[in-house]
Amino acid sequence: MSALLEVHDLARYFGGLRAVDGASFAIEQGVIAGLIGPNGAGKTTCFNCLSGFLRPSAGRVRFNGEDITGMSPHRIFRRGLVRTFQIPQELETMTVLENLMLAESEQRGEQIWRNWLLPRQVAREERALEDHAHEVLALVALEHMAYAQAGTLSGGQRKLLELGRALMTHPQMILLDEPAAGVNPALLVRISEDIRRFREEFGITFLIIEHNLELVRDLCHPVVVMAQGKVLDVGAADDVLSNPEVEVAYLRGAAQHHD
Amino acid sequence: MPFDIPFNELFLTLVTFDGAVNWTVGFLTTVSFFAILALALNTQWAAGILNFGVAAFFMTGAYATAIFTLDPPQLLESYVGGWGLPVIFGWLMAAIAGGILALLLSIPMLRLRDDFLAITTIGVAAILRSIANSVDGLVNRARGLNGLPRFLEGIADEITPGEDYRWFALVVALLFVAFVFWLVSRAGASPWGRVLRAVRDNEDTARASGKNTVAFRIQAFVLGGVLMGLAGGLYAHEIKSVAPSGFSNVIGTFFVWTMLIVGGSGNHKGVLLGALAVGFFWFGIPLFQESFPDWLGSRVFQVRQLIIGALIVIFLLWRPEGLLAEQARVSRYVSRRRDPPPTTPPKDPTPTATP
Ligand SMILES: Nc1ncnc2c1ncn2[C@@H]1O[C@H](COP(=O)(O)OP(=O)(O)O)[C@@H](O)[C@H]1O
Ligand SMILES: [Mg+2]
Repeated sequence: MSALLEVHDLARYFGGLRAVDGASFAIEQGVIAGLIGPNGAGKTTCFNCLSGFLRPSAGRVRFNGEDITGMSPHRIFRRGLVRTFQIPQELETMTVLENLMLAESEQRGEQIWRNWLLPRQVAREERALEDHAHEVLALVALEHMAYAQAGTLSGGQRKLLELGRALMTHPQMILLDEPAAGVNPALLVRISEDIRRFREEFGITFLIIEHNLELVRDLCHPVVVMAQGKVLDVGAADDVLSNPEVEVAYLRGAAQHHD
Repeated sequence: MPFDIPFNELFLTLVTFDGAVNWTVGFLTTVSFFAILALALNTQWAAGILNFGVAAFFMTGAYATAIFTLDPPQLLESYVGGWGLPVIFGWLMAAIAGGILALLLSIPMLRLRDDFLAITTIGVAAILRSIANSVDGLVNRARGLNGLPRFLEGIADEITPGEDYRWFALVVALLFVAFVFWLVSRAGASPWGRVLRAVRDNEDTARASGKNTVAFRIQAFVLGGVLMGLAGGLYAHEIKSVAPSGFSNVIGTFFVWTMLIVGGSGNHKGVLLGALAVGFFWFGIPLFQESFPDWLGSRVFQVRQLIIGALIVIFLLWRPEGLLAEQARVSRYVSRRRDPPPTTPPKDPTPTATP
């Protein structure tokens, strides 16, 4: 049986810069996988290619056996592959509640004419959707902020909102870009528990970019290590983290970072 | 402060000649068309589309209905069409023409950044004006199209014999405003409107939420274009003639933007209020001409442009949300519960630095 997500020789160049440079890996259904690597390794660029936000310069992406390379983001979303952003991108003038409600797919009220001719149908759908959004808000501990404008959230809360948005449609797979960055330690424990629970309860597969190596060790198996656009190692967290090559890559990344 | 003097003058001008009522009727009728323009613009703005070419759509609608409803060209006139069709058909064509123009413009819109789109739309308005002005045999060039019929003029006279047609025109105009208000409010305060708001707030998030943002932007742009075309059609039959000079950027575009800015962009009720307030300045200031000192009175039409400009600056600086601010809640179907003020959340997890 083939893996849920297969990445073959993926590359993305920005001018002369090879941000992703022939990366290949596969993620099996039902795992919580990690994607780590020094800053600038190309992790976020890789996510952008998987989710349709960037067109890969070369390579293939298959999801559920289907070739999704170069598809637009909403098509990929509809196939059940959902992503979050490293820097939270909330809809700041809207309420937290409606930030989540937006993410539901196939809303009939999104067809403009139904709001003129069949408002009751839309109202019914909206009530159900609002209930569902409240459930998801409870999952990510943001229920008390439901009616606040998303622009007033703190950095950590924005991260939680990103997670909530990804959970709204019960997707098959979620790509989380640094879900723990800026979240306080108490909440961190809760997030990793939640991620595990979402896997158990909803069968969601995760691929998580994370710099907090404790969290990665605790949560992720397997772990994919990227450096300079290439995949350096794949395996159990303890194994890859004790790989001397990985250590060198991290140190080099840190050195570059100090320049 | 010469405050009481103009008021006396106004009082005399208006009441002595039974003008107060007449003026108000005419004022409200004209403002209605601009209110429709402003509501249409607001719908586009709500999707993050900056349209600085309102005049282009307004003009397209006006010319469309003129071509369909006028009689064939007379001596010395030359224009296409002249089919003498009923006014109501002309209005339909005005709306369709506005929609088609929007569809055509949405092709570059897909590729351009917001600010470039704004510049493009200004250019389109200028191009359309110069085509109308200079192409022979198209729409009678600078002389324009004159003698447009009025909506149900004969029948209105039969229903209310002896009454001034202007009352009938006002009622028709207000009915259109009410209808357009209903259309844009229902569309805006809905899941459809929510996607548009998302596109404006952050297009990437809308895309990450599974929305085909391009399709929604086009829909909002075309709906706005249809309504602007309709406004042009209504306006044409009110003033009974259309000419390129009547659709300058000042009256066709910036006047309407001011209504949006003053009233409250993103809030349809606010926009109606803005249309009334800004319209009152625009059409009311010339009434005071007599009471201004000579050097000012002779420049009253420049003065009102100045005041419009001042209104824009004042509001953008001190009240950017306008008279009525946009609501955080988008969909009218979502409950209105209020929460404790978000500024002091007790359980707020404070952000910590990335390890
Ligand atoms: N849109 C872009 N344009 C140009 N360069 C980019 C762009 N996005 C990322 N890069 C560059 O690509 C490299 C990889 O970035 P990124 O994928 O964000 O790394 P990571 O997420 O692993 O820290 C970096 O050198 C970054 O500067
Ligand atoms: Mg990154």
